[in-house]
Amino acid sequence: MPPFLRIFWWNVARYVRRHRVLALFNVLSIALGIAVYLAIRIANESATKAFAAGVDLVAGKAHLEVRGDVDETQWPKVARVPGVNAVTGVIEAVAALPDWPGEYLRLTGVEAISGAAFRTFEMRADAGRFDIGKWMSTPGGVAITREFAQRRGLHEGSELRAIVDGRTVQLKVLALIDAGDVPVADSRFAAMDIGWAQELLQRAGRVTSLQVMLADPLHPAKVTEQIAALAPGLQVGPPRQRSEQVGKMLAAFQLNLTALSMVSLLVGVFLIHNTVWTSVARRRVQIGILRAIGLPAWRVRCIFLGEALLYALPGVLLGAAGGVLLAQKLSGAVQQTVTSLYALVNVDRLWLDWRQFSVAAIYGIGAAIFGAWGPAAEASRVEPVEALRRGVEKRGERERARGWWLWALAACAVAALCAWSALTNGPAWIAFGAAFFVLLAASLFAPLSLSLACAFVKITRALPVTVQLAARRLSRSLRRSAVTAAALAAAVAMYVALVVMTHSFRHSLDAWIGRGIIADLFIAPAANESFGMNSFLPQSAVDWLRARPEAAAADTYREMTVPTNFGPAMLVVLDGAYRDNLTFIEDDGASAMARVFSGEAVVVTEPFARKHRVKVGSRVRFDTPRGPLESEISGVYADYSRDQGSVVMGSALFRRHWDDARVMSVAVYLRPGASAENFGDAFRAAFAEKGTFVVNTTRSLRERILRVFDQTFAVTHVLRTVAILVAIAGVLLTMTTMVTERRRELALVRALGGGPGFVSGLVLSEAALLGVTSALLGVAAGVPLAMVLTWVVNPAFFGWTIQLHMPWAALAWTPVWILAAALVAAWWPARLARNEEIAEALHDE
Amino acid sequence: MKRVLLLTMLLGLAFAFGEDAAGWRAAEPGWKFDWPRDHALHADFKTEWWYFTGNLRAADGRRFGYQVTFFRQGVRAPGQRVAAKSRFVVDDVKFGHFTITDVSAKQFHFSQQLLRGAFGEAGFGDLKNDQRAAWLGDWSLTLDADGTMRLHASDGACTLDLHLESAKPWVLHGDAGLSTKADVPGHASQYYSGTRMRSRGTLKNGGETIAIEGESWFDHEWATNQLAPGQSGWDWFSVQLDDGTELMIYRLRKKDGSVDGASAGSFIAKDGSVRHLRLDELKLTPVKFWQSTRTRAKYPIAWRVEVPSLSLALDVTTPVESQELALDPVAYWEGLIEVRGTRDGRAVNGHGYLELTGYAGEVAGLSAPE
Repeated sequence: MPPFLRIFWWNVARYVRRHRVLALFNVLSIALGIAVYLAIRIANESATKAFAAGVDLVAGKAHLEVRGDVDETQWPKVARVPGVNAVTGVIEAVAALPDWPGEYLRLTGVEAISGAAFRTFEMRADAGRFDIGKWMSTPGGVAITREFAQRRGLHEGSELRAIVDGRTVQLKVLALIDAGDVPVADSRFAAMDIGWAQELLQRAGRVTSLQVMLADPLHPAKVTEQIAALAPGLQVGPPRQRSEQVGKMLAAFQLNLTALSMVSLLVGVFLIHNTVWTSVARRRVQIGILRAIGLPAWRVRCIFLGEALLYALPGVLLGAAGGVLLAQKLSGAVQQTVTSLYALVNVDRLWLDWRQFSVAAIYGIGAAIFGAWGPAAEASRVEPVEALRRGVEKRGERERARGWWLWALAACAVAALCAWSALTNGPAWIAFGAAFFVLLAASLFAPLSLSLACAFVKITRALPVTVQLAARRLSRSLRRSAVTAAALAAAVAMYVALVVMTHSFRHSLDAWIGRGIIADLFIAPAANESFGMNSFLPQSAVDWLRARPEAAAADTYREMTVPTNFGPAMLVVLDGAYRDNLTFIEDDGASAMARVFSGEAVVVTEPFARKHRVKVGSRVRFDTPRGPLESEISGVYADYSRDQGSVVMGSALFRRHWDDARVMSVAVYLRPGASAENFGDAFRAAFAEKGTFVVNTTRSLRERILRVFDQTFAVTHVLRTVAILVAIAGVLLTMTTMVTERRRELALVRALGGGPGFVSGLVLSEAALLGVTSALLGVAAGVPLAMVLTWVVNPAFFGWTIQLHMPWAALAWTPVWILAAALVAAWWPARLARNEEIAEALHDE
Repeated sequence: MKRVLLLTMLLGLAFAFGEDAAGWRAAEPGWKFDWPRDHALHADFKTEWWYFTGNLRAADGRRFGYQVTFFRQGVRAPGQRVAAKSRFVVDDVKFGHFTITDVSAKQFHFSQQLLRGAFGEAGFGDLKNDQRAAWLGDWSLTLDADGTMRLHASDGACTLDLHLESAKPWVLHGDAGLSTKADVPGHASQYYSGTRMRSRGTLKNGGETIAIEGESWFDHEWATNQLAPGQSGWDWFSVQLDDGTELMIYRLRKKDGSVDGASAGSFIAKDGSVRHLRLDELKLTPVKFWQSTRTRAKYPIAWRVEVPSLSLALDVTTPVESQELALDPVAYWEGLIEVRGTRDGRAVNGHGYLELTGYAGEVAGLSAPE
């Protein structure tokens, strides 16, 4: 072993081995940070990759895709465009499977012959070869993935009930899908003959997309242009574009989660910093000796950075394993959220690749090095002569709050600047800069807060002597305690901010529901609740609802993505009348909506207006199957349903440009005296045969929306809990260090007559003081952080305005339970202190 | 018969067709042949094909061979044909093969088409409203009012336009057109041929347009139940001799190496009278093999054919060895042949087509019904 390594081994490894518990906490803090970061990243990537894989599965080897609800007669026309080698059509729908609640299949109608060249999967029949004759002649015949078949105990020849567009239909398994060139990433994918799919979906004449292979895939521009020119409203682009669009939509959501996960890593930085600092302070004499025997300053620094690495490396490994485990838990929640908010996605398996792990390792090691940098530099500056002189080692501890609070003020100023920039013309991510600087300011205020807290205790003579002593000792070791306090304060601030933000959001959402959801009943195909808005109501159901004498009115709703001059946008089509149920920003809703229903104008949601920087009077251009349509925006209203925003159009205008009268749900307004319950039962009775529908009352719909909301924020719940756990671990760590470091001092207290209870009281008091101070600082910082999240991050990223609403009770309880947690964390160090052998501890004195 | 097997084999390129005959009409004795009606499709039967092969000659003496086929494979039996709104719900699948053999250049060119016909891009006419008996993309077989046929096929590199006129009456194979496939009843097809079709037209080969004329062989067959289990492939000969007679032979090979007893042939005299040939009247001996570099299959491309009952002995050779349709996963050899030999002691020459299947691995679809 080279001499330096031997020195490192003797000085660090042995030290670490002696302080195993301490080392373990450091490792765990890094591991937790890495695990959370990695879990978020894996869960998110798995969701995006699953979506992309779904797109790839349908598009296969296509170079271009003609999207939207395409008239199938475009197919031969596209095939004749010069440069096009092959074309095939695809029709897609979601079929719910009532026999397994919550289960569904992504039905994809494919043309077996022209599609063969595109396919990346294989259809196999177990009993012999795949029989195309049967495939083309069996209504409702499907091929399902082998994985799905195994999961649901299905086999070739099995029949299953399915619900499409609210109608119950019968499917028959004809073949199983096996991985061909690429693994079948979505187990819920099901292929069907395009003809029978059109029949099943009652969509003869239409396809969801045309997939195109080019003679020269590297130069698609000209062909793209020529295909687009075939008919108005054709959206042409590479299939990948669709996944990219979803990827972009998810980016904001993912960035939020990733930013949260970084907080846990930040807490880890504090912990490492604390530990290495302790290690340096404790070994000043050894450092002095090493320097005296000629070890250069930079090598001393290396020793302590090396110590940080000793924590980081196992931490990263442990974190990687934990990250994968946590990702399994998280991916379900992420999948739910993505499906509720953006697009139907089915995450069958986690997406793992070396990049995720490498980045996590870099973060973990980087965090450790960053945390250890200051103390290691301090160690390298130790002068041998000074270090070897007794008594000097205490000097470093007699630090004061110094000028940290000035820096804290500066951070506040930068945070304000970032917030202002994000809200005006700056990029959206600047909003996170604002959040970061608020957190930084909170951390920088920690020394001052602790000093003030200690000073307060000293002034208040009424407190027990243990607390008085604890305050004295805390103020003496301010630097280290301040780091622990900063870590805990940051975690608490994060926690408080998230609590305030979700509370405010929920409150705003609830108010919006209260105003917007006023019909007596909402009726839709059941699949729309579980798998996103993909299914349609039978026209007969709509007619029935409108014809009932109890119904005063029945308004219809549908949505679809359409090409506009702002890119693909969600178009909401309403048929009915305005019922003063939308909160319009700055203008009169009644007249704006009157123009919508008369077909003169459209209204947009607030996120749409923010995202595309449009306002009342701006114009939107749509590419419709009948050519371009330009419409004025007559109003902007508050909406929380979709952060990408949407455009609302009257059904009359829609039908003039899109040849499609289908609706996805109906809102029924009953005449006075009519019973919603009876009406709902009558509908169910009349349409029970035709399929499965959900009949929501105002209340159940409200509950459902809030449930989706709570689901969405379930992930942040996990995160904030983890952040607090890491920070509490910091208290445990600090206290344990304190006890081992000052065993002589504590033994002296015992020798002077302090009983074991007094000693443990001392430790507990110190932890309590630290906990309460951090909690108060955290709450104080959490409120401005919440303001940043609600007023800056949400409008900047999602485009919606949330009214700040304080959960006072939760805020009031925070310091209490943080105090309790700090005491629990200090219980073990306190026991350690109480059980110390006085004689042995004082032996050295 | 061999064509039924070929059909199944060819569809095996992408997938197989099941052997479910329920709802389809079986070939039975007593079919009253009537032309031109029987040139059109027979939608009640599950499978049907129109098959042209021929030897052609340019004015400068260059020789060409060709093959153009139209296949129909039913997917919905007559009873299953409920009205559907989707144009993609069709009753059959359409596909075909097109080959050109350039003898002097020793080049062989092949292509295939497989279409659903949802947009009317492929189909079969009833010859009442549409003069086309079959079309597949821009390939077509058209019947003119005078009873002659027009054939068009193109794949970019080669385009063939032919006008065909039968020099002899239509030939009914087997028992009055019922070609029995096995000892089990119902395993048979309705089968007639134009054994000597005078052909004249143009061939575009690369940039060159060549006027060509010669003789073609036309088969039209429809059936529902045909396949016999245990067969591994077959060898099929169509020969037009210069004494005005024609010979058709198919030899079915079994997996155990023996020859299936259903193998048979037809001899057509100059006056058009047909003599059915049983297996025990035929003696077929391969004399030369050619190995494909693409599929590694070894094909018997030269034969000694003897029919002692007709005092007929022929040596079959080919001027172009490489006439393999190297399709994935099933390949077969089908190409132009030259014939020299004696009949009743007199020297006869001729030409024709030879088809060799089951040499490049197992013939897909054949093994399934076992």
